[in-house]
Amino acid sequence: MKRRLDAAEVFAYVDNCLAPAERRAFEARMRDDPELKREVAQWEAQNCAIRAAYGAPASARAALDLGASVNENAPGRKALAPALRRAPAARESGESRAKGPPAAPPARPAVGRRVARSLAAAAAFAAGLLIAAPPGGATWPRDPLLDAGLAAYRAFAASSVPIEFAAADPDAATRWLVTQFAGAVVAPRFASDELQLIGARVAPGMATRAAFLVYEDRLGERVGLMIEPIDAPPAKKPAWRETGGATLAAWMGAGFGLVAAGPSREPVAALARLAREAPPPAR
Amino acid sequence: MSSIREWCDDAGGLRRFGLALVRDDRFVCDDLCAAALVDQLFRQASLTLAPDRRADARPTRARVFAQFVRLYRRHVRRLDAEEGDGGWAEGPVPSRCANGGAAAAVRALPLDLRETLLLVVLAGLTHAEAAEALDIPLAVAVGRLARARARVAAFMATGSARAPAGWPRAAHLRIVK
Repeated sequence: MKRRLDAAEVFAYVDNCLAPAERRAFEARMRDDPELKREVAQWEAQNCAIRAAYGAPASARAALDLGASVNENAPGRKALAPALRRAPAARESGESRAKGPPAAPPARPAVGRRVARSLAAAAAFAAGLLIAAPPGGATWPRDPLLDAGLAAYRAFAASSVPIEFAAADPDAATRWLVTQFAGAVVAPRFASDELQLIGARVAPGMATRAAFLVYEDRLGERVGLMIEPIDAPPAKKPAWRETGGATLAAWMGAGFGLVAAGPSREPVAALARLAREAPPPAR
Repeated sequence: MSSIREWCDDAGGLRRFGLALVRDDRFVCDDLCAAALVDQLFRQASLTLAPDRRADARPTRARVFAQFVRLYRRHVRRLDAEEGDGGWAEGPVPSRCANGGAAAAVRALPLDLRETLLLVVLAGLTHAEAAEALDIPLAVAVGRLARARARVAAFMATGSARAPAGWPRAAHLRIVK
């Protein structure tokens, strides 16, 4: 029996767009056809080359429901992320992404095998808990303000992202922030030999957009201060978190949620102290 | 896990996609990334005030990438209008980008092919999601994908846009036993 196979099906397989049953059928066909296998390998290699050229993970089907601690921007969790992503990706490919009929349910295993599987699943779950909440790491539930500060720091300060508005003078930064936040956010004014303001930008905050000020310490390392306007937040002392090579301190007060983030504790502590001691901004 | 958490986590992915789409113009990329994220924040806020199940059915992540593509198209159109050509095209590939490899091959693609390829390969959207993001039929998206892949393959193999002999052609039909 002959059937026509067009490039769309090959691309659908390479891009992981086929339903599980279609995928299995395609793989069976590929086993019998070395030319088809070679063609698929070439397109897969091209996909990998493009992803590698832009520093993307090998699989672009990254699950997004895992939270910031397994964000691909987190250097400390890079090795963990692909392993954790596999399960949701498989679930996704089997359920929400499947356009065809559902696959037949697997045969029920023998009792001994079921017990062994249960034990293995329990062990895997326990290992997962240990990995997800390492000693000294973040505990659940996490602070959303810290999460937002961490994401902004990794996206805009830890990388070599250019500053949206370059300014060494807090007043100049405030004049720019006034246009972005209708006067709700000002850059704290403090004189320090330790930290020098280099610019500001807009970043996603905990619930709305936030100002993100970037400072440089004497070693040239960047430290960020996220300022998010919040309606009547409860006053909160700085909460500290060290995760994935970043140190963060988050606190609330005077109508703002603030997060200081940097590569180590000293510059973050200095920034948090200076920002808290600075005159409170007028809203 | 809130949806805000989901797409904020993928800001790195959006920026990578943006850099590839705008051909490594970091300033344009950062502006558009910020605009797309802020648009999404406002949308999120408005949906919180007035939930719209139909509008929210589309995955938020795909919507952020689609918004970036729309903003970049608008940026190109505006630049083009300011230059006064009357056409609809980006400028030439920046000279600093004229090195070999996959990135150079992607940069050399025209915008319509580049955005389709990058939405699928870098952003990880399905073909149907990419077609929806670009507001084109699925068949057109697959056709663009095929042409983009053929051009990238030719570029990577020979350094020019001509496909080498023996390289699998993109949009072809094959007889399989």
